Amino acid sequence: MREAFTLITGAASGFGRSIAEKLSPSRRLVLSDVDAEKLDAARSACATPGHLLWARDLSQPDGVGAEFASFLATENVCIEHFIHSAGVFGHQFARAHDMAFVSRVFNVNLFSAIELIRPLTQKKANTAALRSITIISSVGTRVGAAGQYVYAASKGAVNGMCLALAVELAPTVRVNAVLPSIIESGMNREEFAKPEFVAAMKAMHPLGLGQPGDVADAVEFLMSDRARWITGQELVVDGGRLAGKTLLPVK
Amino acid sequence: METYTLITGASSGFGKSIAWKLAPSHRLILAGRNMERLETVRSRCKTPERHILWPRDLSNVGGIAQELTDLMKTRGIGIEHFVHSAGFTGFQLARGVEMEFVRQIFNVNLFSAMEIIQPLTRKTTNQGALRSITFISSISGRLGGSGLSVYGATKGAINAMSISLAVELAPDVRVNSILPGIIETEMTREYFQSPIFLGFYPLGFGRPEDVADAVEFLTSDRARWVTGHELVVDGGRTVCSPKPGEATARENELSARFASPQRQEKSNP
Repeated sequence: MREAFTLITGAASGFGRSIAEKLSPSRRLVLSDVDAEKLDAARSACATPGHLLWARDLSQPDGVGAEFASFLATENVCIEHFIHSAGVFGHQFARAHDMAFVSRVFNVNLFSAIELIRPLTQKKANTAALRSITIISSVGTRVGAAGQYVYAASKGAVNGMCLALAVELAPTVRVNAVLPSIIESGMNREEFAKPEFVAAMKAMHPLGLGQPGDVADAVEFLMSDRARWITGQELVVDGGRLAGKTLLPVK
Repeated sequence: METYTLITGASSGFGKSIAWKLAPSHRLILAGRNMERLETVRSRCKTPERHILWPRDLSNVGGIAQELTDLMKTRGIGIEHFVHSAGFTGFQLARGVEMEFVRQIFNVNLFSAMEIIQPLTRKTTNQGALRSITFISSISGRLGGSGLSVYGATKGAINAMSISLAVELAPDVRVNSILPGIIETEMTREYFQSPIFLGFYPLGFGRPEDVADAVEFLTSDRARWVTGHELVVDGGRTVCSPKPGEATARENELSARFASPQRQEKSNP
C-alpha cells in the first residue's frame, strides 16, 4: 500500500506556499514549483518534516504527466488530493495580443493541470487513490477588467473544466475551484506598495484586505470530508467584492 | 470605407445559418476551412456577390492576425461585427487526455479568436470600425459532462474572456456570448435518436436559426446597452431538472459512445 500524499503546485510562493503551511501539520505533501531552491525554503517553513519536492517548470507542459507518473513510482507514493495553485498573471490588451504570452498563461494555469490530472486518474499510475481536486481560479471569471482577457480566459477554462470533471470523476473524486479576489502575494507586491492601490483595494472589498491564509482555509475545507457532498462548485473568497460590485463603491 | 461582418465557422453548423440570416442586411466575410463549402454557403446567401470568402484553417493559429490584416488592407475594408462560430467538440476522458487534442481544440475555439480580435481592435488596421463581438459558447460552460472537461474548458474560457473584453473595449465595442444547448445540425443528428434526450429540453429541440436569431439581436442596435452578457439559448435545458436516472443514463450513454481518445468533430453542442 503506497503512502497517500497531497500534491500542491505553485507551492514555493503566494497561495501555494500558504496552503502548504496550512496543510503540513495534517498531511504529507508533494510540493511542486519551478525553483528548487525556493521550494526547499517552502518545505523548511512547514510545521513537520517528511514532505517531498518535485521541481518542474509548468510553462512547458509536454511530458509533465509522464514525468509525474514516474515520480510517483520512484517515490512509491500516491496522490489523494491535488491542489493546482501554480499560476501566471499578467496584463495584455487585445490590440497588443501576443501568442507567446497566451501560451505561457495557458500552459501554467490550465494545460499543466490537465497533464497532471491524467496520471492522477489512471489506476496504474495512482492506484485510484485520488479523492479531491481543488484548483485556484479567480473572480476575474465573474467580473471583467481591461487587460485581463487572457488571464480571465485561462481561469474561465479552469471553471469549465472543473464542472465536467466533477461529473466524470464522481463519486470517488470531488472537483472544485476557489475564486479569490486580489490578495497581496509575490505576484503583485509592487502594486501593494502603493498607498493609492491599497486604498482602492480596501474600497473594493467590504471585508477589507484578504490574506493568502483565507484561500488556504477554503482549500482545506474543500478537500476535507466536511465538503464530502460538494463538487463542481466555485467557492468565491473575495471579502464581499462581488456582492458589492453592482451599485456604489464601498464607503 | 465599407464595413463587413466576419463570421468564422461559416461553412457549417450555426455559422451558415448566421450567414444566411445576416446576408440581407450585412456585407459578410465568411471564414471556414473548406473553399467549396464556403462557396455553397455564399451561393445561398442573399446577394452573393457582396460577400467575401476567407478560407482559413483555424486549428493553426500562427499568422492569422497578419493574414486578416492583409485581407482588410488589400480590399480597403473595415470589420464592424465579429461573430466567432468556429468550434468543435470532442470527448476525452481525463485519464486519456492527449495534449495534441487540447491544443487543437483551444486553437480553434479560443486562440484563433484572440488572433482575430487583435487587428480588429487596432486603429491602424480597422480604423475604429468595430462595434460588436459575439462568441458562440456553449451551456457546457455551465453544465458538466463526462468526457467534456477539455471542451467545457474552452467554452468557460470564452465566457470569462468576453467579460474582460467587454470592459476593455467599452463604450465602442460590445462583447457578448451565446450559450446554446445541443442543436440539431448535420454533426449532432445522432444525439437526437434517444427519447431520453427530449426530457432535457422543455421547449423541445432547437434549430440553428434559434442561434442565428440571437446573434442578429446581439449584433444589432437593439442590444446597444447589452455587453458582457451570456445569452443562454437552450430551450430550458439549464433550468430543467430531468427525471431521476435520466441524466445519468444519458451521461453514461454519451460516455460509452464517445470516450475513445480519437477526436470527434462536431459543431457546437
